[in-house]
Amino acid sequence: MRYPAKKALFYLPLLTIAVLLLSCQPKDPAKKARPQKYSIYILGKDNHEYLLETSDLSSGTLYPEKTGVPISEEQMDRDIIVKDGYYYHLNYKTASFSKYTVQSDVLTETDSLQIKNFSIENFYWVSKDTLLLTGLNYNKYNRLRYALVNANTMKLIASGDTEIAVPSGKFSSMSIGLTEKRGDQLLIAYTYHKELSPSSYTTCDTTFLSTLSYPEMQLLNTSKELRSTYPGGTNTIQSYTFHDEQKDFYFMTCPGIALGNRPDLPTAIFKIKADENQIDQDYFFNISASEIQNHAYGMWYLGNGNAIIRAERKDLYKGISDHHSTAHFEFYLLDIKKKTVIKKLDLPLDKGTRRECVLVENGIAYISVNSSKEGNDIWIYDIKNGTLKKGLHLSGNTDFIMRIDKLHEASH
Amino acid sequence: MKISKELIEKYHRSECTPEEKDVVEDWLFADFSTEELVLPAGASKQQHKDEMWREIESILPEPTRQEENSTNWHLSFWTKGVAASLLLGLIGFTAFQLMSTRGSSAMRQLSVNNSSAIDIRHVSSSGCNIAIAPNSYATINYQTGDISLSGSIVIRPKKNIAIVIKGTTEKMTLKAGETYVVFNDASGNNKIIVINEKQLSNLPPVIQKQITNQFNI
Repeated sequence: MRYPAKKALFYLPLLTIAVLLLSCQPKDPAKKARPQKYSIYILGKDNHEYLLETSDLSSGTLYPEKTGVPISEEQMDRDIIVKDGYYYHLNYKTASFSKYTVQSDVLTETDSLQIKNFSIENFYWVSKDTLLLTGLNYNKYNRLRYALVNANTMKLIASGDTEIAVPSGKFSSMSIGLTEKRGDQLLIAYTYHKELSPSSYTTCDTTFLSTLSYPEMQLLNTSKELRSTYPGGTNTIQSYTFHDEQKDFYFMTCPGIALGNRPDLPTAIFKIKADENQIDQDYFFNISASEIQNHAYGMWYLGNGNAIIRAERKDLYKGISDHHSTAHFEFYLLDIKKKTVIKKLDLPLDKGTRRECVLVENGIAYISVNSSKEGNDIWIYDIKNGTLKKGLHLSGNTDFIMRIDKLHEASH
Repeated sequence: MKISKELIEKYHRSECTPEEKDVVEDWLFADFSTEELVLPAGASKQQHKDEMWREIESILPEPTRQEENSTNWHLSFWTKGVAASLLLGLIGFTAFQLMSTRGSSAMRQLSVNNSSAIDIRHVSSSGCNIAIAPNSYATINYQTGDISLSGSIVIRPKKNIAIVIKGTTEKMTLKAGETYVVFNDASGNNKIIVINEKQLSNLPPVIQKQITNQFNI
């Protein structure tokens, strides 16, 4: 062999590169299997936050500090929109609406755009890539605005103020609780707030429902509903609405202390029929007056007229100070059409005031529960036979499961 | 409005607006000094006091002599100088004693207030940094863990502070380096709410907006 030493010198760098490349492979081979089906948002005991992506919620144990992706404070909070493997979040201070994905175990911003003077209250996917955001002017929270975004190209299609009435008289701010598109019209429900002190408020006794033309966003009509107040809530945090197989639309009002702070009014479920753009005056499901006898926050549809709601236990918490830290939430199965409570699910008491905690897929309702006694688990509720069992356990640094999401709508 | 060298100079030139004057005077008269003044190790305050008195007494003319022989006064210029120095020393020592007492008190308790109706006031002590909302006051007793509050504050401890939630026996540790929002619970139970900034999203959204707006957090 001629010049063996030279050959060795030639191959040595190649060998070194190969070794380096091999050593850069992910430690956990399971994490290579992209795309994952589900995302779990964890608040750690040390207040650090993590995203865990997995394809199995039915068994096993995960540790956020081992396999989770850290979320920095600058990146996002839990008020996110999850779709097609991406996470969208608006930083209202920097006005940056960012698109993130998990790349090589790192939460990475892939694109962003500016939505100035905007605080998101609701999101609605108009089409696969077109995202409608309804919100309020940042800082004053007294003018209902909108932003239409192409989530694929991350370009702002349109934005502006609506003609919906600003608060007046003793009312100084407002909250939007639902945004729903019906053909070429948009339904937006909202209410107004009165500031009692720099850290307290109350809500007017009325739910307002406005109809706007889409995409012109011209105000067409506004109606008042006096049976309850604080319609829905911020749906980047938790779900409060659904439509059934007949396209009838349902929403929950939340006047309890955690949202409307009008506990004298009932938590209730309302209906907007598929072919009407106003609240059905013949339908009223009074949750507070039912056997639940409490206020509730959060509603998820299981199919076939059944829904799960998450109700508080006023006998177990002391006030707003411990509403999030005390385990007092119960999950109830409802028959929406008959307006009856089917049963209380046999789950440990849950904690965390508002959480996106139910995910429905393929006949299973995955319910995340933060129990003071049993820890943090995802429970598997079989919708067909009504059985309930523990699934994935979140351990280690997990303090709260803040949300569970499908990463892809067509996960099977 | 922040205290700056320029603002203080402006104050001394009597060029401040009434609002600026209030801010400077609030700052000047605020009682939040926590600097502990200590004697050298092993030294006794009483011993120092006694020694100083002895020295003063040895130099001071006796009262009767003073009256009887007033002519001696002009002769003892240096003596008077030393006496004056010692008197000044005594005044200084008394002030030191008082400051020590106040310092110890400040180490046990921190009182802050903001009489402005508009601006947030920022206070930095050896134990924590505090932002005080307009028309708010707070007292934190480090020994008992009691917090008295009217209004709202944002506190960032420099070392762990153990507190007791008012009206309960519930204890909580405000951890060094973390930020907490403290405000009155308006539900009428005379309690205060203490919440880590990272868990603000658990509060009702309207209160979140009020607080984030107020403190710009």
